[in-house]
Amino acid sequence: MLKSDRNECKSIQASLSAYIDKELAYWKKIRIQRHLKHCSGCKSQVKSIEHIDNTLRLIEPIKASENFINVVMSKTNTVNYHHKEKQVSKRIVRITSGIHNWVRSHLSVSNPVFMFSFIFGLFMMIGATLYSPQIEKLNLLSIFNVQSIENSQEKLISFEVITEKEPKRTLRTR
Amino acid sequence: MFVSDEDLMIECGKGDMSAFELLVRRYQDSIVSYIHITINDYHRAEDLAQETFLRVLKNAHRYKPTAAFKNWLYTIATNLSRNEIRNRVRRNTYFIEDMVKSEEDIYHSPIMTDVRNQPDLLLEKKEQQQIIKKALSQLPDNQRIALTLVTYQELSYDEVAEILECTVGAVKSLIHRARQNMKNQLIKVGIGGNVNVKI
Repeated sequence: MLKSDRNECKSIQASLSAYIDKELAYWKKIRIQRHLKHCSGCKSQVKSIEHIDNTLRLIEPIKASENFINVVMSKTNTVNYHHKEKQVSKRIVRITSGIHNWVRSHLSVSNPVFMFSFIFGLFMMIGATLYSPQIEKLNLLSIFNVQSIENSQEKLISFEVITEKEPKRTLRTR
Repeated sequence: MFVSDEDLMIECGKGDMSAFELLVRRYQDSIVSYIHITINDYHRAEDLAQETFLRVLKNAHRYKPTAAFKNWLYTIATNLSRNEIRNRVRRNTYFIEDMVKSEEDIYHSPIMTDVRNQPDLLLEKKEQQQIIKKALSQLPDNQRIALTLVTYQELSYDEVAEILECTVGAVKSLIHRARQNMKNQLIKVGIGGNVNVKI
């Protein structure tokens, strides 16, 4: 046997299982069929694989017992209950762990004092934004109030100046 | 009207138990048979098959119709079988069917006593099946699973690749080596017959 033939046989033999299982592309199948016509060694290997396959098929498929479906359906009640319960609890755990991971990764904080001050500051900011209209009522920022009054006066004066100006053209009636 | 597995699975995810029941009815025999050949114990195979379907129900809300239901189901069954085999090795325990080794054992083992009263042909058939099962159990896990899926469940190489999470080329190689090893095993036990050709 030539070396080229041996190499061809080797590559063909690697694909014989797939050939028997009809898992090869069309052109590969044609190539193997053409090779099998003149190679008795590979042909006997095909027979050998087919024999193993047939031997394996001697094992009869086993069927599930008659009450299989009943057992499965009876077990599903517990699964459903746990499933719903787990879904809610899992979601809470997922959200809290997500927040925790985000804080850890973005702030890289492990110091509880820093965490406390950060949360305190956060709450202060939220409080300040929510209750900002009430600051004027408490009269804590009187300076700003004065400035705001002054600004309003300036506006009034400038308005007065504008209104005192004589019009460039007057409308005359014939 | 035939409803596809994927549609049934979507309905199952919405909580429709009749859809789930239909799915179980469709696949119960093939899953029990598949696990039985993989782990070689009928009662445990039934337990694991039940567990497989319960896992399907548990994760029904996660199922996306882009993946074939059949592949997903076999992936769960394969993982459970692998765990079982691993645990068996770890515990160093064997099932009764594994204990049946030689021809004599088959005739005299208590599990086979009911077969002794059967006609010779049936006994021979049972015996042969037992030997083939034994030879199959000698294969490495991945080879046995791949060969079982292709031969008994008649899945394509693409489907097996998806279940075993490997390439189609790897499946091709697994099947080839599995048949080679199977041939050696069958020759050893004397039912190789005309398979004395080098694969």
